[in-house]
Amino acid sequence: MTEARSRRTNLAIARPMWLAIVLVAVAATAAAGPPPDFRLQDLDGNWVTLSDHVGKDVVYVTFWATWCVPCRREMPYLQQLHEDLADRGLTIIGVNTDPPGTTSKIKPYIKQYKIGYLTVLDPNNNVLDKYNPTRELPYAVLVDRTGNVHEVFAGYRKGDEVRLREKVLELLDAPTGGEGEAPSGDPS
Amino acid sequence: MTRASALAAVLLVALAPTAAAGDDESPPAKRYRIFGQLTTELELNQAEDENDPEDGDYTKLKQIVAVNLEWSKLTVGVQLELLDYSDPELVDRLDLDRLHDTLELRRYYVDYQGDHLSGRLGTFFSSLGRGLTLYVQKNDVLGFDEPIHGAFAKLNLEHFDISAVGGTVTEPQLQNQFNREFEDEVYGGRVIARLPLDLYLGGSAVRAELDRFFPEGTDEVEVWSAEGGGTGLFGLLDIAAEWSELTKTEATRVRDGYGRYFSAAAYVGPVSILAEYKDYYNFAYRYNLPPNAGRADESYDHNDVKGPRLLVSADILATGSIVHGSYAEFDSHRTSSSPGGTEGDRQTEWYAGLEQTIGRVYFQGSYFDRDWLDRGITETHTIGDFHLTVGGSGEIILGWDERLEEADYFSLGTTRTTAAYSLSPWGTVSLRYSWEERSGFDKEDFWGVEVQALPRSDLIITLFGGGDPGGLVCAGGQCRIEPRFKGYRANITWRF
Repeated sequence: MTEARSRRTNLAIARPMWLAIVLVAVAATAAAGPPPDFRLQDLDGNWVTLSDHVGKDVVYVTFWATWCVPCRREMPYLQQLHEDLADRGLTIIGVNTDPPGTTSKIKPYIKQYKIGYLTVLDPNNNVLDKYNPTRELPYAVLVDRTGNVHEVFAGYRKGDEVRLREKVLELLDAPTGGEGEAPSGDPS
Repeated sequence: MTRASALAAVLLVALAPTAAAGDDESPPAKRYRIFGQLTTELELNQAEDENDPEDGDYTKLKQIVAVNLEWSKLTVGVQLELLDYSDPELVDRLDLDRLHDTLELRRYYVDYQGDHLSGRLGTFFSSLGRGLTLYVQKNDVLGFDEPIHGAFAKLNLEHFDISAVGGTVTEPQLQNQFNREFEDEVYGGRVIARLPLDLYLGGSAVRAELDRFFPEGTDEVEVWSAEGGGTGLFGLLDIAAEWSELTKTEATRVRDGYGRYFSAAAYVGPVSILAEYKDYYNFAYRYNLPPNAGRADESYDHNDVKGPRLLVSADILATGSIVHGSYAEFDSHRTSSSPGGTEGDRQTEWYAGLEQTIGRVYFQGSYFDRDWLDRGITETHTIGDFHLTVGGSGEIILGWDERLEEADYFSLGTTRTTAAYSLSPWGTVSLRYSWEERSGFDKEDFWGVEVQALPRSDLIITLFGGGDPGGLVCAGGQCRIEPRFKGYRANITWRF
C-alpha cells in the first residue's frame, strides 16, 4: 500500500477525534431551550420579532425557498394547519430564504399558494445559518408555549404533516403555567 | 479591518446603549442557550482522471462543528471546519474547497439583535438592496462559502432603515481558478425611507478594492444605485425600480457601466403577472448579482444584457392545478462581430410548468427552452416529479431531469432519473440512473443507490454508493460545472 493510500485509510479514523472531544463537552451543556431569536421584515416591510410570539403561542418556524419542491409540497398542509388551529394559539412563521435578486417572485408565489400565515424574509440567510448551518430545506422547529424547542423537522416526506399535526395538538392541549420543561442554563 | 467595517462597528457600539434603552419596554430575559450542529462528510471518489487514470481517485473528509451561545440580545458563534484530502493536488480543479486542506475557523461572530439596532462583528453574508451594488452570499448547491470578514450594522427607525457593511472577502470561483486567494475589501451602505401609501425611496453605494490577477495591485470599483417602489398599490400592484452607475478603475483603464432594473407584479383573482425589464452594461464585478426573475436553476448573464420578461402563473380552480409560464427576449449591447465569429447575443427563452394534485398523486413538471439566435445553440431542460402516496406515511417517487444543449456541430445531454420510496419519519431509499450523451463519444451510464435515515429527529445519516455524471449545476442564478463522481459518500448530521 502506498503512503498516499495508507493516509486515505487513516484519516477517516483519526481525524474525528478532536471533534468528538469538542462535542462531548458541548453536548454535556446543551439541551432543548428557546429558539434563536430573530427580527425580520415581512413582504410589506413590517418587522416581525420571534420573541413576540414564543412563550405565548405554540410557534412553528419553517424555513423555505421558492425553488424547493418539498417546501411547495408542505405549504398547503401548513396553510390548512394555520386555518384550523390559529384560533387555538398556533402561530406559523414561514422564513423565506431566497436570495435578494429573486424577491420579486416571492409575493406572487405566496398569492398562488394562498398562504395566510406570517412570511418573513431572510435573504442573507444569517438567521438560517444559526438554526441550520447545512441549510437544507425545508427545515423547521416547533416551539411549545413555555418557549422551548419541542422538536426539529428536517426535510419533508409525505406523512410528516400528520406527525406535525399530532405534535401541535399535543402542545396546544398541554397545560400551561410553567409545567413544561425548564429552560437550560438559567444564570440567575 | 476596513474603514467601513470599523465604521459599522463604531455605529453598532455607539448606538447600542441608546437603542437598548429604547428597547427596554420589557426587561431582557435572563436565559442563555447553547445550540449547534455537527456534520461529517466522507467521500471516496474513484472517478478516473482522464489525464492520469491511476491517480484520479481521492478520499475527502470534511467535518464541521458549529456552536452558538445565545444570551439575551447577544449571540456568540463559531464554526470549525476540518477538511482533509488524501492528495489535494489530485482533486478536481473545479472543486471549490481545494484550498482548504486543514483545520480552519470558518465562522466567528458576535451578534447583537435589538428591536431597532442589529449588527454583527465577525463573519457574515450580506447584500444591499436587490444585489446591484453588493451581493455576497453562500450557495450550498455550488459550494460557494466565502463570507465577509468584518462588521455590519442596521438601524431601523420609524421611517428609515440605515445599514452599513464592510470587510474583507474572497471570491470563491476566482480563488479556485487561479489557485490563490484574492483578498478583496468591500464597504458600503444603504438608506431606505418609507413613505406614505406603502411607497419607499432610497439608495445604496459600495466601494470595492479588488486584488488584481496581474500585474500585482488593486483595482477599484465604485457603484451606487437609487431605488424606489411600492407594495400593494391600488390593492393589486407591486412595483420596484433601481438605477445604478458603476466605475471600474483598472491598471491601465477606467471603465464605466450601468444597471437598470424594473419589475411590476399584479394579482388579479387566481392570476399573478410579473413583468421585468433589465438593462445591464459592463455591470458585473466580483461582488454584485443583479435581479433576475428567471429560473433559479439556469444561468443568466448580468454583465451585458438587456430585455424584458413576462411571467404568468395561475390557479385553475376547476382542476386544482397551478400552471406557470414565462417568455423573455434578451440581447447584448454589442454592435460588432465577436472574436468567436458570432454576430450577437440575441436569445429567446420560454418555459412552462404544471403542478397538480389528484387524490394520492402529486405531479410537477416543467419544460425550459432557450435559443441563442445568432450562435445557433438551443438549450432545453425538462423536469418531472411524480409522487404516489402509499398508506398514510409512505410515498413512491419517480423523477426525471434532462438537460440538453444542441448546435449544428455539437450536442451534449445529461439525464438523471430517480426511483425512490420514502417512509415518514424514518427516511428514504433512492435508486438513481443517469447517463450522458456527448456527440462523438459513447453513451456513459451511471448507477447509484442512496439511503437517507433519520433514526431521531435531530440525526440524519445519508449514504450514497455509485456514480453521477456531474455537469452544469445552477442554483440561485449562479452556476458551476460539477465534476463527475464514482465512489461512496457518507454524511452524518447531528443537531444539538
